Amino acid sequence: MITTGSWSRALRPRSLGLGVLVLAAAALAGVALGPARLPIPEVMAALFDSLPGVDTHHSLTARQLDILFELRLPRVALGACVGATLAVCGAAYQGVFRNPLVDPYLLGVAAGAGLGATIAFATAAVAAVPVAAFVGASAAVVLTYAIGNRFGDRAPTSLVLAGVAVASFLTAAQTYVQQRNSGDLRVVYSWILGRLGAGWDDVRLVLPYVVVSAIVILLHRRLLDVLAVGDPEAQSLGVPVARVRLLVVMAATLGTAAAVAVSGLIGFVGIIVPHTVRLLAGPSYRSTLPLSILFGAAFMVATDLAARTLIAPAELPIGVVTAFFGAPFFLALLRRRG
Amino acid sequence: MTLAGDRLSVTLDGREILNAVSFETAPGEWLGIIGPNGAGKTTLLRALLGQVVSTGKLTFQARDLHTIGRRERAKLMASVPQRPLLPPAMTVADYVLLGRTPHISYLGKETYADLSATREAMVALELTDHLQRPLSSLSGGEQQRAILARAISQDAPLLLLDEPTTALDIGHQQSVLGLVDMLRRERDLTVVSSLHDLTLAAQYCDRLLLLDRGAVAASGLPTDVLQAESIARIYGAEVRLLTEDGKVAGVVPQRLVTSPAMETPTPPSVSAP
Repeated sequence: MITTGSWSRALRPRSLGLGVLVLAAAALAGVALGPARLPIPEVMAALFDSLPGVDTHHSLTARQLDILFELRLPRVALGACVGATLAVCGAAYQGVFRNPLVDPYLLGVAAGAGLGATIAFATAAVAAVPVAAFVGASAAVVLTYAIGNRFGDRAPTSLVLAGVAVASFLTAAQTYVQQRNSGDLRVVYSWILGRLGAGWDDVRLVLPYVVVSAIVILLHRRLLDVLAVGDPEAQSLGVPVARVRLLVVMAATLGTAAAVAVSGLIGFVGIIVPHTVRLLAGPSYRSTLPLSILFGAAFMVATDLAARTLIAPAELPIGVVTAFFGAPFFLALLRRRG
Repeated sequence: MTLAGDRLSVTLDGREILNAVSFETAPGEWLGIIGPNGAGKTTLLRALLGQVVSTGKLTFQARDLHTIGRRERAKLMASVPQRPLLPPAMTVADYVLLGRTPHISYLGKETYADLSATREAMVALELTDHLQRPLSSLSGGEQQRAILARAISQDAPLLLLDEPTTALDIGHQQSVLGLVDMLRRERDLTVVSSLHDLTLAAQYCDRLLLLDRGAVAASGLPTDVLQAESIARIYGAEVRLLTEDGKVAGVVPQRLVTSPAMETPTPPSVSAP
């Protein structure tokens, strides 16, 4: 019997199980821990009780239930959505551009979203922040893609360089808008540094986009493995390289923009998580992509827990925490490649 | 059933790289494309692969290669580029499995048939002990075999090789060409390869196509194509041909006398066995 499992490093049930377990543990800690500590067995009982058709007994008070279902759970859910999306989009960008140092922020997506959001803040159209961030992010990627294709011989690296240039330009524009409207500086700063708001509205807003994005990316996992041998060879294997690249980039940008719109700028997740997952399960995108979703969600929930408990009752911006771990990780990665 | 090109031309950036090149090769034959640097050898292979726009006629197994779809083309021809990009951490098994790509639908998953073809290719190239090893840990010879295995698992009747012996030592050159020859006979493949080394071209190819500045200078059996005069004219090289049983067995460059002060030495006598 010839099965892929016997000699290929495709996704193994064991890694998948580990991912589910880690995510469940992080989520449980995320809902139970905080300024008001909830007993974990009671939390589990209450969570099961909330499932339709399940009736369990728990002794949480009405106030504790409010904390659990209206404060902690939406925040954990949002963190999981954002973390999973940033991680899987990072892995997708890395595959499409054959560059392990790429993440959602390198193509100008974040800067574009930042500019869009800042303009929304400056014009006091705060309700339009998510939409403006999304428009800015998409515009940035279109700009990067157009410039990279036009001047760069269509080489993947030229796209990355174009992304850096576009990001710098958009950041400059964003700083200009920000300084002209110093009254809104504080709120922009807190958004730029990343935050996970509380409430189911944000989850509902982001969910459709991240689900679509993740599905499109996951469907291309085998083709991302083919792209690893280079464009001409992938082409000679019958793969429509340009179409695969465009579709995956569009999906990853949609996901990133949606995540940035609700959470602000949270960097390095798209680098840390996919690389850690590769160490665990090998380089194939057939395992990297699904595992990035699970571990990305778990990583973000755990990071958010750290952000709101380390200096409690104050909160650290979550982007600060991810950068604290992410920057050294990035340097280690650079060093290993060099 | 043959591979045929008729007045094939390629123009890149306003420069004519190939000019009305015609050739034909029978099924199961090995066609060698030879010629000096810049003669258009690689461009001809890229035209076959549809990687450059060409004019003229190009057919294989009665299919027009100019209108064929990408996936259909990949089912007809497997290509081994001069310097394949080997993803360092990818395992041998996963790499060879990539050859099945044209047989798997766009968003589909490999089937049992794909896995058996992959397994068979790895058995043919004696890679079964290395299935789980990352490509970067293989020796040069093992990497060559992995690359050939990927091409073989593609299960295409035409195998294209761009300078398969470049950067290999003489032992590896011999073993790579020997493997290609074995696979060609076992699987009745048509092989088209560009080759730098005229001796190897003479030894392995059934038919040669000699290109000079984008045009056909000679084509046919190695004995007809490999002539000392034409090699001198096209390559600017003085060579001596070794023959064996009426076939060319070696193309030996002669040592040039560079200093006019030196006396002209008598050429070393080379006798064919």
